[in-house]
Amino acid sequence: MRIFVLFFLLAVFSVSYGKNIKLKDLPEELSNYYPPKSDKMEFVELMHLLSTSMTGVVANVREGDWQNAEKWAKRLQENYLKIGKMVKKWDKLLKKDDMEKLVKSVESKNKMQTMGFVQKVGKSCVQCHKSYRLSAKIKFHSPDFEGMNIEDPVSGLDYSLKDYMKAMTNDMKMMRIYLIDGKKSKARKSGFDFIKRFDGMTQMCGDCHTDKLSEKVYFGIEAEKRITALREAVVNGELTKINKQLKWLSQNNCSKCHNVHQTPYLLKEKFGGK
Amino acid sequence: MIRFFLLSVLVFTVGCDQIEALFLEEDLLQRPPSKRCSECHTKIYNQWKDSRHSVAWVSEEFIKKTKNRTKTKCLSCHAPLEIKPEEEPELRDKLKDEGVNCFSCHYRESTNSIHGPYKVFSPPHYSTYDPDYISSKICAGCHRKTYREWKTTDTDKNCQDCHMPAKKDRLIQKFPFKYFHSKKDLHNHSFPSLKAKERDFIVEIKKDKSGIILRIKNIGIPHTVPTAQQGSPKYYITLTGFLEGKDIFKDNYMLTPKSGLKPGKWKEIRFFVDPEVYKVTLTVERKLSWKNEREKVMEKSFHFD
Repeated sequence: MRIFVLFFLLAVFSVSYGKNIKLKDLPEELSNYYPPKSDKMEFVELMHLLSTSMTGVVANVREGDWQNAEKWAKRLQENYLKIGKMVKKWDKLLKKDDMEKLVKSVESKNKMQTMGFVQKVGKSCVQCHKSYRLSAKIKFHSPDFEGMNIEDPVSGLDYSLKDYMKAMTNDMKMMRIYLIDGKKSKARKSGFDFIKRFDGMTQMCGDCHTDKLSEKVYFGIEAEKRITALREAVVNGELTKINKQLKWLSQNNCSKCHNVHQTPYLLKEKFGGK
Repeated sequence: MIRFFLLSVLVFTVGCDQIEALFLEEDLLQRPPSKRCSECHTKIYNQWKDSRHSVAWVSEEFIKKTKNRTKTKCLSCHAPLEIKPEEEPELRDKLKDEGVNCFSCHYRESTNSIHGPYKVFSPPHYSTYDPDYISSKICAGCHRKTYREWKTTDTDKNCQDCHMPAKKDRLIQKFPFKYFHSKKDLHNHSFPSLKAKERDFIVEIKKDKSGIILRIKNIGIPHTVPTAQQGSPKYYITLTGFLEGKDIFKDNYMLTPKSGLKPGKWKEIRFFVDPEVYKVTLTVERKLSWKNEREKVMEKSFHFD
């Protein structure tokens, strides 16, 4: 009996902890409607048109304005069918018959039937969003750091972002290690290199963060003060002060940036980056 | 003399009010390709062809940085429809490959005329004298950051004084219109990106137990160096230390537009150096956004006691 209970519990816990969360890959055609292939975001625009048309139908049916309801139903149908033309793979997922019946029921001014078909068509939207929305957000709406090069102020070479980050964090770690190991001169060199690379980040972030507020957050007066204090602490080899300034920088610069960008970027990489 | 003669003949034969109608070439006010403007303004056109403005839309650097021109907020300044003082322009639909072209800067729909810094008689198109063209404001819609930096200074120079240096010449090269105006200050439309000189900086160097502290102040350039709205121009401050005639260390510091040398402000840079050097050489170089090579700005040696 005990063995049976044990196996039962094991099975339950394996199921709860072994849950795989999958992100569905997207049809390749969809990328034609997003950067870098297109700057017009045609697919997003289509989604907005569909959403507005659906609201137009429902609102007018509720108000008993059948003339306008018909106008919006036809727009809804027209745009709904465009999905299949833009992304062939999704054509078969469309509830074309229900869409047709929705238009017909609006034309015949049948409120009950219309709302029924609105629900059926709407369900196909919900299902598609459930399967693909998160993937599309990750793949097309998060910044693409792929192929981004950044000039390394220490070596003068162009580094990939990953290599640059690795070099910068390595400087930070080595500065601490050398200080703890009593190698002050090497610690200073690593500390100075870290500061150079930290400053060098302005090359990249400024490409997108062009407004004053985001500049202030990442490269503002407070960050500058902390870097100056860090430099002094590095010169004097004061580990406690170094840690204090690094803590501030990691909370206010590194973490903020990583929390916003790194998570979607790591997921994006799973799609193959492009 | 020729000018007076030609004008007299014209006025006598057709009358003042009809001259404009007689010579008006309407397509000139319909935002034509820049080549069309070159038929009269050949010199200005040729200068513009050599400028970064003419390749603003097609430059490799721009295409790469904007992920194949999909970073939409960058686009309008690279193919603007109409430049207005201190206002971000709209992106135009046609002739984008010409980047910042003739009509971007000179045509105004509100007056249906070509705007510029002179009051001129220009029969082929309507012209409007516009004092904005002798002010930095006209550049400020796109070069916003540099303009803001410039505004913090008390300089009496504007953008055009340095980046559109003038030379006495004719605005027009086509006969007979070339004789309609006297020679004027023809402002260089290649918009040279001037290089700073040694006299533009004050440098102080001192040595302490931890290394060398270099202080540098931009006293000559009325904006941060390097400067850019976007792009990635750089300055490099390199220090070479000598001991008994041999260079024993070399260290450099890279400056970007965000960490650059602000006008009138000291910047302190620390160089880590262990050995006892008796002499250091400071080299300042720059690299323009669209170039791979560095150019030397200045070199100076300092001796320690």
